[in-house]
Amino acid sequence: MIAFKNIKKISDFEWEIEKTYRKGMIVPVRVFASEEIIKGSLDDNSLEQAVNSTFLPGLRGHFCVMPDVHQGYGFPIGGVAASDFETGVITPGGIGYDINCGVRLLSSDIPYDLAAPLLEDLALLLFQNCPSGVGKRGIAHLSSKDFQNICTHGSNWALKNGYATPTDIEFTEDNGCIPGADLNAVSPRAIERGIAQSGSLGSGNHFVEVDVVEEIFDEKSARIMGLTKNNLVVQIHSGSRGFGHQVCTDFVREFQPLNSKYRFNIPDRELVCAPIQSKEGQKYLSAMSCAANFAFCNRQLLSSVIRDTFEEVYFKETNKFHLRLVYDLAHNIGKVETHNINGKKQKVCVHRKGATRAFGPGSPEVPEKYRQIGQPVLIPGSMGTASWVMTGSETAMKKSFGSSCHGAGRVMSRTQAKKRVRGETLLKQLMEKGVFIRAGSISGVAEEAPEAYKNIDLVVESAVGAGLVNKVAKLRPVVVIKG
Amino acid sequence: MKALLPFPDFEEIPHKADAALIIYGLSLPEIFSHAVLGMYHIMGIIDKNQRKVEGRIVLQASDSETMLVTFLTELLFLAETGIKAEVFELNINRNILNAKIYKTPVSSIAKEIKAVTFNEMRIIKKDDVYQTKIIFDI
Repeated sequence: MIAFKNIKKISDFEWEIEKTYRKGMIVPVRVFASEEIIKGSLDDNSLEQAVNSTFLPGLRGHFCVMPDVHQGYGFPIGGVAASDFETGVITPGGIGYDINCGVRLLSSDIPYDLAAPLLEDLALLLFQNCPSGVGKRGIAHLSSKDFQNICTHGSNWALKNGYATPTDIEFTEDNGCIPGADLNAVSPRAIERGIAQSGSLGSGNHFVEVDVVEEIFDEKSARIMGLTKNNLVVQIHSGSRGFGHQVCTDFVREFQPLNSKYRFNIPDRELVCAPIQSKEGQKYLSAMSCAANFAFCNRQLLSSVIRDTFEEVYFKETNKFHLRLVYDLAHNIGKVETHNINGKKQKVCVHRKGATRAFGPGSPEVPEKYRQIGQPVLIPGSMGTASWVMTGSETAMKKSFGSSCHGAGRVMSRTQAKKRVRGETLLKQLMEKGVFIRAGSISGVAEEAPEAYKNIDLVVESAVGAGLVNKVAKLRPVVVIKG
Repeated sequence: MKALLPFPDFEEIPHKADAALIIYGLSLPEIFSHAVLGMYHIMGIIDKNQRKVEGRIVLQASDSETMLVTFLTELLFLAETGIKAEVFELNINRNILNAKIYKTPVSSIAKEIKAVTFNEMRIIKKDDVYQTKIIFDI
């Protein structure tokens, strides 16, 4: 097991586990976190998992660990790795089962004071209108042709069918569509699961949250993003549902024989991988892109329902009930990108598992509106606590393949959380703080209790301290919908 | 006789983000049957107590771990379609699993399992008892 003495300090928020720590490591591990967070992460296997992940052939630079790190399976959550596009590998375990799980933020011109008397109604109607919970069917009833189009065209299907505006597409990462998606690479089982669930939230830590912009740290960036102090905003956290889960399951199984076929030395079967340029690697990329496009469209469909719900609740109070998309991003994904590594431009496949793209100012991939300030980075906190809106930085481009943290990160297991926290008590406490929660399961609420997670403010301070992101605004929750 | 065995069918062990079980059994097929019970325990699955319909799951896999992941994944899918399975006979021979099941409609599921993972899974036999760890993505 890794001990604190095995971790070399580079600066207050940057640490390294050197390549010499274990024979077979291809790159070192670089951890972006405070000493307190690093010491906390030693009580689980997350850094061991980071070390295991460095065995993946063709990795470049270093394996990055974000301050919200916690133990996952295969990669740790909060892990980022870049593998050479020509000679490296792609691993489904470095992307996760919920392919393109991500977050979007919508802004509004509705002031909290005007909204407050109707927030309880809003919570009830959002809960009613957004399908949530285990295996729930989605709002869209799709034909096979529709599903194929969603997988191939992502959010553009939603635009064509009246669920999106052109600006929604503009402000979604990759314009809501990753090229190269091919449904022929996907199993019939995955398709069957996906058709039923398009436009659904899911369960676990997925949510719809209405927040108030509590504090602004960067007036210019906030203005460009359309964020105004004391106005309502909405966050949606969901992914590719059973479709993505099945795609990942299929390929983790399909890749099992590849360890011996390609003579890889991978210490964890969950990290099985294929050379990116092999037929197996290309097939996975095509299938993963289908699931990613499905997830972009899924969050778009949920946005459409939420917009309708806002109109229904607030149209008598204001004519400014429209919700504008600030940004939509993926935090479980593999992306082909070009980065400057050791002074040389290299085309790599960046695996982000529980990590957010955080491209800095000037990046051509960032929408023109944000190109001057850097990509909006959305870091939701745990249930009932603050969330943060940030921007990506030049430092992130140099140090972390343009990546940052994606949330708070767990410190307590679900079982522990349920032992320590009573769901009913927590709901009451949050109600007293002015947070209306509607959830499918009381025990699910206890599992997601704030004390089960790291303090989001400390995680954000680490990311800022490491220079990966800059603060724009802090959000305070007022309505939470959970599956 | 079963109650006298010095180990449970399965036990839940702490995992920070997901769910983890240690499964015990006196034979390989028993490990599989107990893993189903453990997975359903995590899901908090409740059936409708209606008439049971007999069914069968047959699958092939290159090794025991892949077979276990595949078998549990199949049951996860059945649960998503509203069916709970009760395994009443299970044979494994030459990398082929043949399970006879009773299918009953699901009344409710408390927790969604996204996937059965290979992470840290290794079926071993120690002192005549088979055991393995299973980590589920929640």
